[in-house]
Amino acid sequence: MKQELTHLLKQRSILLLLCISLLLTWLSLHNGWQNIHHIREQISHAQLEADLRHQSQQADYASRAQIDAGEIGYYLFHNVYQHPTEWSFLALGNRLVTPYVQRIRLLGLQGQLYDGESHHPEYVMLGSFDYAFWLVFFTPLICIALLHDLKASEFQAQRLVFLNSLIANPKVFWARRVLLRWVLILLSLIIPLVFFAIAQSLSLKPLITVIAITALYTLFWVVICLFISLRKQAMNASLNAMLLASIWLVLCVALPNLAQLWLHQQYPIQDGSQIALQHRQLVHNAWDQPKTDTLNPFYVHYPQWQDTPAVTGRFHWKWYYAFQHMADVQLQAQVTDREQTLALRDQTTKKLGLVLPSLWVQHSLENIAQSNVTHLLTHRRRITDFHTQLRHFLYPYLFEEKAMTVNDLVNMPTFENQASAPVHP
Amino acid sequence: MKSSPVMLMMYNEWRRLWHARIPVLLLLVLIVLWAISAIAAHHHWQDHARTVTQVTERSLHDWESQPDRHPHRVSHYGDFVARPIHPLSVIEPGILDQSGHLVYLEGHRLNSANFNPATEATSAGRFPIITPAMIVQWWMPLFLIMIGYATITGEKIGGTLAFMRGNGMPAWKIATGKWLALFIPLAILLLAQALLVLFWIWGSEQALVRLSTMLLGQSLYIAGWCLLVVAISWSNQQLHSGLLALLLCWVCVCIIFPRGLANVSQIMHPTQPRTEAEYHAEIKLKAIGDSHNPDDPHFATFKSNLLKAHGVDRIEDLPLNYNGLLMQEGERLTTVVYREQQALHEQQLAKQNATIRQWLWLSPALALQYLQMASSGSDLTHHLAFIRQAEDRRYRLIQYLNQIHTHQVQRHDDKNTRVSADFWKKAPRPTISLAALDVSQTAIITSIAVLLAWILLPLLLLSRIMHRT
Repeated sequence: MKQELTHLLKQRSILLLLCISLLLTWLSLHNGWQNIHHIREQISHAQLEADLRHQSQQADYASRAQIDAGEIGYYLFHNVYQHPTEWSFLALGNRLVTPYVQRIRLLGLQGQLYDGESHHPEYVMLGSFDYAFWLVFFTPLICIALLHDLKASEFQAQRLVFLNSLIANPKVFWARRVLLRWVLILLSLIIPLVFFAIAQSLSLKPLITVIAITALYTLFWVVICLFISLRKQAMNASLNAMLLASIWLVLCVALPNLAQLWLHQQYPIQDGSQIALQHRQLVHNAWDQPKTDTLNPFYVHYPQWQDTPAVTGRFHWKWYYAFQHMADVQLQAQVTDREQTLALRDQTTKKLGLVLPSLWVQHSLENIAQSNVTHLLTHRRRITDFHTQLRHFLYPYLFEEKAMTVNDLVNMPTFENQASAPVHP
Repeated sequence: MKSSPVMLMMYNEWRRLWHARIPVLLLLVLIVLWAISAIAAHHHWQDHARTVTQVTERSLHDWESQPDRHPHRVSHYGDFVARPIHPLSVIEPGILDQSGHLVYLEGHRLNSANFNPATEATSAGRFPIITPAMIVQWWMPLFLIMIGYATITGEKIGGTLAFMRGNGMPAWKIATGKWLALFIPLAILLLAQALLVLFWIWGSEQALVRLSTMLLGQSLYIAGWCLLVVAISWSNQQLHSGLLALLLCWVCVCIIFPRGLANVSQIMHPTQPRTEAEYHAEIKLKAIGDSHNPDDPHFATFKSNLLKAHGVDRIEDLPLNYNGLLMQEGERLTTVVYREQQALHEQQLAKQNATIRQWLWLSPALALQYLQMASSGSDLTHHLAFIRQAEDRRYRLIQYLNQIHTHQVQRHDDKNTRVSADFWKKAPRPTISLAALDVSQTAIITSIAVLLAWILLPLLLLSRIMHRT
């Protein structure tokens, strides 16, 4: 084994390749970390600004004798944050695009939920260089480069016949060779990973899962390379390389693309902006309708307020917030449908992953990083819960026309308190 | 017929590739991949095109079917526009998925195109997407490397290179022959694609200019790669090391540099989160004055000037509706703030672009991508031009409505007045059209310069090593 190792490492190109792999693994981890760090910084900056705003608002409200609850609902924005988790740097996934800070007020939620982040669109399009991308997309190439000419290189060096006559058990001989190369590839991936985990003192369990995934995926590619390069007629190194590169192209590019295409065809969804648009229309139509058309259905949902004073004037906040909410209610079926379709898409992706290893790895890593579409849906559900809490907090002041003072504002729910329990899948 | 030595070299190379069979097979795989990408891209494009037509139709329908309303209600009811897409974006969809393509236009608010379908992609969406542009940008060079890495190293190992040189064949003729042998089949493929696309885009805006810009970029790019393959193949003594060096170039140029650059620029010049931008806009708005507040200094002067101009003492005596005038002034002021904010955002994007441009020479693949996006009208500058057009339409429309508010609505019965729906039909709603190619001029020129430099680079390398053998 030691001889094998020295023999292998004497080949300059192999040593170079391993060093490149080591370097790029580190780069991918570092880059992912930088992105997540950036998100964390932006969030804490936003929190800081929100605190300052909050203080000045408190001072402003304290100077008033009475506060109009309707204005609180309309003018007071609440930041909601999508915090990255500890291992998010592995796979940036949706976090690259989704807004990590959003602001929510008491108006209809469906009109606010789909606002995107103002990233540089070209940057988002180019994608990021994170560990998941590096592992899924490039390590197969490293495997191919190290393993495509097992027999062919010996044949070209005119040692193959000699070798065959020397070795007692060819299976053990080749197994040892292959094993060694696999271990080296694996080490070039794991060493930076472990160092990174230690340096940032990350938790152990995800690390072990990631190492297991890495090992399995590289093993899969090693086995494929074996089949090609240890065939009986595997004497042409270039032919092997091209065959393997074609397999790589099919497994890592063509099939995932076709999978995505099929998925979108199979489970079509409405654009999120269409929901927001419909919400607008519903809200606008409500202005033209008799107020009872809004309030009666609303009281079906909230019978506790049906006996409150009727709205007779041209405008009343309770009518305003009732139609905002009713627009959400009317869209609820579509929204649920949309969420279910998205969840279905994710489940199908997972199933496809069982036959397509590249997809399986990407999906698993994104689950560890919590940056998949399911986590976006969980986040949206939390926003919805928060929005509901806010509504329930303000409704008594609006419907019962209870007087509101600055002391009441202390009890106002905030997203951070509501979301104190981190969500784990 | 006697052919020139260059032609002979080329024919011989073709014969070699034909007999090796693998290169031909690879070329076939490439064409199949191309076909798949074309189908996928067309599908994707149709989705977008359908959304654009639906949105445009719906916006017209919704707008015109409005009942008699108060003009201010109309200005909040608003209008929406979809970003027009060029048929050439079937080749390079660019930022179509990332930038959002619907903008809502309403009174005193700047909404921007902000829903991006990419938010909701599953893990399958994280893989590099294959489009015809990507085929040229990524896969063609990769296949070219696999087809041609042995082109001269093979001759060296077989001893034929020394033989040819010994027979007085100049090195540059050998190189030209080999280069032509690699370039011509790929150039034919590019031309074929361009011809097919020409039928598809016939009659669209600037079809010929856009297509020929794209074709020029693609040809330069592929020509550069062919040269690089010949040069590296010449510089190596072993097949393996040549293949490795070329693959390394490909990985860096096509994948690591573009993604790395984008990341670096994002971290060096981060864009302000949308929420922060909105808060800042609100602070500015508060500072310029509150039209609802009678004691506000700005609107107090506005009022006294107005009264003076009409020679009256009270706003009730004005021949026009003061509320409408107030709306016009308010809209003017808020629009200034929103446009400032948008300019700030564009500045941040421009800074990021500048960082990328500074290092663009590292990656001709990224240069080609910019060129392809620019010529298919799906790059950032086209998008920003769309946003500007939409904003212009918004401002004109809202001020038209405020005019109606001023002239058609009596102040004493303002809130209860409904204005005839005919006025909505006459409202200025200029069609949004795709910006001309000129908006992306800088990107195109820079890209072509980088692509040319990437032809010179392998040429220099080649001229230095050619004489050694």
